[in-house]
Amino acid sequence: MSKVREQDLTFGDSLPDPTPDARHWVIYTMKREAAPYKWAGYVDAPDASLALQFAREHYGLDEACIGIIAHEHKDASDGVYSLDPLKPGNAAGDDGDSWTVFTLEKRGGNHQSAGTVNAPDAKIAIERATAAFAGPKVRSIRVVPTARIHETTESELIIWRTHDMNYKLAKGYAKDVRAKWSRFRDEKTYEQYRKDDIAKHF
Amino acid sequence: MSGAANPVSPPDITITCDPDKLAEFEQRIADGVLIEPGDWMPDSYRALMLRMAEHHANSEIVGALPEGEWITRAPSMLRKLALIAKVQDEVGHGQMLYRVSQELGKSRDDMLRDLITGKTKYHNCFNYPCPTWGDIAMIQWLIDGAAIMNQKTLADGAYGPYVRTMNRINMEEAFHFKSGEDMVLTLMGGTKGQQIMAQDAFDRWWPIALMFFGPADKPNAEELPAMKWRMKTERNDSLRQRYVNRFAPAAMDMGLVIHVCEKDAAGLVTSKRPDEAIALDEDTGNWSFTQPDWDEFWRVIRGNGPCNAHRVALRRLSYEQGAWVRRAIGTGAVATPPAA
Amino acid sequence: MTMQDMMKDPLANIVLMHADDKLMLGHMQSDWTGLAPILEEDIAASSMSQDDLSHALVLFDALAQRFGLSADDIAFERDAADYRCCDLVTVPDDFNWAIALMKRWFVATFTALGIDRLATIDDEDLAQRCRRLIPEQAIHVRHLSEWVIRLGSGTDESNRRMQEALDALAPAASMLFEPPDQSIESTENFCCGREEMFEQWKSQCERTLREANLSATLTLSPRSMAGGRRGAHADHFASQLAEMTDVRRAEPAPAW
Repeated sequence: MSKVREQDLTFGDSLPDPTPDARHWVIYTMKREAAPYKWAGYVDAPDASLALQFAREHYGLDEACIGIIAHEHKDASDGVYSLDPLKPGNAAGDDGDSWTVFTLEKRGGNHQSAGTVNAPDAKIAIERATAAFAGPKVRSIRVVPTARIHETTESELIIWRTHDMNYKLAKGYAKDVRAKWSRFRDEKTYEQYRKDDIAKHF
Repeated sequence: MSGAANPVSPPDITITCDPDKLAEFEQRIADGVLIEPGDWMPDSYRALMLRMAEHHANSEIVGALPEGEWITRAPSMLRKLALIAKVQDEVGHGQMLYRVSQELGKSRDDMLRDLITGKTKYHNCFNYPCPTWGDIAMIQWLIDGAAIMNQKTLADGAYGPYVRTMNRINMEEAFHFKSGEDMVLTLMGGTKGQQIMAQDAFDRWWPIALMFFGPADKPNAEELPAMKWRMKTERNDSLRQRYVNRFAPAAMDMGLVIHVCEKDAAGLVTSKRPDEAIALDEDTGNWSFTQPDWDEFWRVIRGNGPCNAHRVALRRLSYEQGAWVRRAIGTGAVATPPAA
Repeated sequence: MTMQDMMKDPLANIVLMHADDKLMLGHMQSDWTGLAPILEEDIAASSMSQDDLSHALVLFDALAQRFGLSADDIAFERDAADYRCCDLVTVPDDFNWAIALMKRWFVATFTALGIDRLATIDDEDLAQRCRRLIPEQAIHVRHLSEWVIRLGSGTDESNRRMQEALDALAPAASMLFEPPDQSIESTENFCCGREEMFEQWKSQCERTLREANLSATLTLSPRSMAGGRRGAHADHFASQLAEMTDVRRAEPAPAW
């Protein structure tokens, strides 16, 4: 065990003073050019710059990624989470500030970016966004003031790395695992096991 | 890595809420509708979900510790990279699940403090030692394998934010399991010494993996809140059986022997004999097996396991030594960000 | 071709200098995984440890192909005196985040300059490998510089801790510029100029330190001063190497 981890651990009577939680950010990532931003997760950070850095090194490296946006949780306004697809309605108008629109196609699913609308407030923004983006599957609409959305802008800095990252992906092991199983199981038994894995277990 | 199948003793659910709203809520769950944060929910549902998500988050960050011990000794560059990425994933899962918990009403700092002062728990399986590299292979194969099976059922649950997070987490767990399977296969196809290392580690982790799913549920589990409200969707025994059906034959095909073991207070095996109960029932397709030592399970969960004190102490060390950094960057409530 | 041939090759020594810095930096920093001060930064630092080790692997792999070795052999099977990492990277951080951060920042800033130069050398394979590392190294420098500034200019307490870490590390930092090989030592050509590279590194560091309300006197070590890069490692390196190779030593095996 490393030295740090095996050191004798003794503590005083009291803990350090509590540190209140930092601001809560919602993170979306873009897999490839022209694809929508999809919900990826959350970070807590005191400001947008750090939130984006944290997001870059976490969600930006979970899968191929070329862009990241973040907004504070409190800046999002969600419409109803409908059981059925939303009815578009007929809200119209183009006055007010820009709102970025995210759609949700199923409960428990992930929001993804759809476009923008202009509106004087969140309620009207949701109505206008519903009229504009409620397709056959959309169950909920989220709007965030576009000015409150922060995005990775340092174009010189890549996100997904160029060196081999197969060591952190399941598919990076598939070939080796199959080859190594061949020592212990015939091809047919292995194939059945592999398919069962995907169908029933994983 | 860990699901919340550990027995989180349920609080006394005295449902004092609008019966019409409750009926509607329960009907929605019965209809397979997911609950989102803005929806009405009984206070006891919120409390139980918080307890479950917090326990799961705690398990992730404590779960990072046993394997973390072996990062500096990983035997090849690729294993080293994979182990760092794997432990990092656990930290990431913890971070996401703390956020789900925050949304249910408790601050991260409170959760971290409750963890290190013993007010809240984490998954029992992390209170056991990892004396060799073989343990790393077995944890990723047996324990992550169990965790994925469990979390797949949790992803069928009813609470939207938890389900969303679980789906995201499961995507990453597949790597953990595959890398574990690759390591076990490598050891079992390797030198005599590597095979012994794998068998010894298997002896330590097989019973822990069986315990992973928690003790048998009460006979009326389906009527109790956890299942009625679809916070969990499958009985512990049923998951355990599916697990054995999959892993017992795989282990034996690789040349591993399933033993029934005696362990000492340090969690190390002192004696073992082959598990004679291991057999396939051709009619049901189920493998029979010897149950793990449930007395040991309760002893460890009450805090008397081989590594309970050390795990919590390392978390406390981390919390205390990092306090100055958290204070320095602030919360963003009033501060202006420094120029970058 | 053998390990000895590799160790006699001047270019290999330059490459190993960066690769071994990254190996040890990633190795030591990754020990923090799961224990860093903030969960989010734990994850970020861990990503960068993976980068450092991956970069080391990219460079080991180039040498492995040239000298008929395996990358793992180069990483784990050399004698202690054949590791070309500098005295700074092996300084134990004793679980002090200020030391760990300051060390990573010093080294990352140096490495960025080093691989910029290697990316232009007259050796297409190596140059190309290094060109691919440049944008990733830039991420590290930016992230670490921002953290030095945040903590240096954070609270009085964090400023004090960062200044203490800086004072403790500045002397060893000068050993980043130790030439790794006698033949290089004897020429002015330290991969495009040791003095020039030092001045660049110094001015970049000082710019960030000023923003961070921190100060240090950064000097260039005398060319003749032999340290880790020429195999004269501090005592703690032996135990670090022993820990890193513990499993491999206990059970020699063709595969892990």
